[in-house]
Amino acid sequence: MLRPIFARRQAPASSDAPTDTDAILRQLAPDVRGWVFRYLGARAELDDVVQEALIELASALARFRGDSSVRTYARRIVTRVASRHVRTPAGQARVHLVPDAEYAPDPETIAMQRESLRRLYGALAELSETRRSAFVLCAIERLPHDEVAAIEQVSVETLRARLKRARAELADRLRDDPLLAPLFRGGGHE
Amino acid sequence: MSDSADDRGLDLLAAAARAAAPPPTPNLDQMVVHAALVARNRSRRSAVVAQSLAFAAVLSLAVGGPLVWLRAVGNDARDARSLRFELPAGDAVAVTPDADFSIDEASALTRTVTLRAGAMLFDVAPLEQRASFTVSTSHLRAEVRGTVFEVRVSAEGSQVHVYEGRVTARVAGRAHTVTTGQTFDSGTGMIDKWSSPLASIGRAAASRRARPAAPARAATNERRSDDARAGEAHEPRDDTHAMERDADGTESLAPTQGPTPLVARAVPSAPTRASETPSALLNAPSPEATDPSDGERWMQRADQLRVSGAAHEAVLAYERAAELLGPSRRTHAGYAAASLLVDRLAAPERASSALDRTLADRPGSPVESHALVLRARALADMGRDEEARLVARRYLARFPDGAARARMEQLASDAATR
Repeated sequence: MLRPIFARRQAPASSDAPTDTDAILRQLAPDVRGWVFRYLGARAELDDVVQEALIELASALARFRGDSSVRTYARRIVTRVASRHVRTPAGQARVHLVPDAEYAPDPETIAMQRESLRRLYGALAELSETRRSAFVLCAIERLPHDEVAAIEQVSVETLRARLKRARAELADRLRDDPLLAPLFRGGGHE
Repeated sequence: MSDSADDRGLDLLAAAARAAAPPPTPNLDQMVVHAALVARNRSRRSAVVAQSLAFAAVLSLAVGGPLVWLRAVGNDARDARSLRFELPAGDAVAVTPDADFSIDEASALTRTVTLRAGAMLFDVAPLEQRASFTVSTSHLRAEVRGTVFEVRVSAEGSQVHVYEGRVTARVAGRAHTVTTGQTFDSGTGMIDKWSSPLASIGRAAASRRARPAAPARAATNERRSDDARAGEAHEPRDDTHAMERDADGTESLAPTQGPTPLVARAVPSAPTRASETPSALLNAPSPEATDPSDGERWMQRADQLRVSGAAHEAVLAYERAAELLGPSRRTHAGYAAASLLVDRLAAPERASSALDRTLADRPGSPVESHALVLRARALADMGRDEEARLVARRYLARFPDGAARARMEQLASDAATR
């Protein structure tokens, strides 16, 4: 066996024992994943972003002062991480396969639905961060406006203004898309 | 268009997005543990940086020679998920904060690494004929010839994932070939799922290897026009997630170049005439050329071609995806290709071959029930009635309450009476 030229050993942690923060993190983890998924859409790098969000959240929980609910605090951090990822070169929409459990008999329908969401998230990526977050949290997640305002740390009036502009901008981008136009005309995908 | 029509369209899309669920992952607990450890280690990051400098000094002294040196590559003080460096021969390496490893030898001909815990990602420079690059764990030995791959060690075993190229993983003297997109586990063999904090680095490195050098002028013009269309200035980014192996600044995936135009081209910039969806989709803009090393992107490409009516091209793309995807995902690609071949292209023989190659209708396949129906229809179309009847019966036995029960009963009955 060759004598190692250099060996890097894991630095002993001052304390690696589970903490209350760890328990909160573990409890929030499934929600964090869902929040990231609905913010970014289905992407192959979903879990990369989830991992980044969990790391930031783990650090942030140690600084949590209790001036909001833990979930609101966590949402704020996760939204910020996901929003940051939208703008990175790796963050462009790359929709991957529909989960096995959702696979319907009709591949045409699945492909159509997947492409529709891809175009929605593509248009969302073009919005400003504030408008995008307003639409995701209010329209997709259907959170109450006062809760979203607390997450975004703005007034409800400001949030509503952002949401209105977000919807207007998305409609401008999507209503004439040949795939999505039937949705706006009153039809829908079969 | 009225505001109410706009609201209706957006609400339908938002509802679809809300109904979508993330794919299941077995790694969430691991991700939580990793996050907690990294959060604790962040305070020690300055010590890690100092250690890496010491590492450089020790390595250069130990190996010797003015050309032997260690360069920290693209380390971002804000990125606590990995430490990145380059070996003297040009191999780029990224390690997770919890990695326990040793570089046993790092000469031009022989590179030997031992990994005892954590994960390491390697972007190995192409080897000379007599050269070797080996990564050993307590469970396996990975031998490569010039590739991008990752090795991860845990108490349960070791895993090797290949982002680009080919790796030979030896376990108990038996060799296993692991190719692009595949993951090998020392205990269970090939597995479907792979998730890693180093994955984005690996994919970026693989993209650089797979993408041919684009003409500099074309890439620059494309980027300028998309910048103009996006209406915002792109500033170079310091945050490097890709291995900086070459000086080609025209690569659209290079992190300092700003966002790629993929999304801008996915949404048409000019209104089109309203028409029935299938024909209107023929006017849909052509999607971005896919990364040839990524099975999921081939699936996306195939879906887009299918939606736009290009059935033959979609089949080719599904078949390419099937070559690159893992066993479970492969069945979806095979089924999707076979459905087009039966329903649109009247090619039942080729459809059966697609189902055969991807094992889409084998017991336990995620698309077994649908693939069995398709198999039965294909056999009937080929005039192989007795076989069609057998497959229909197999479906009825496996899925007595299946959605296609009536159809399969009819097929079994029709085939019997011919």
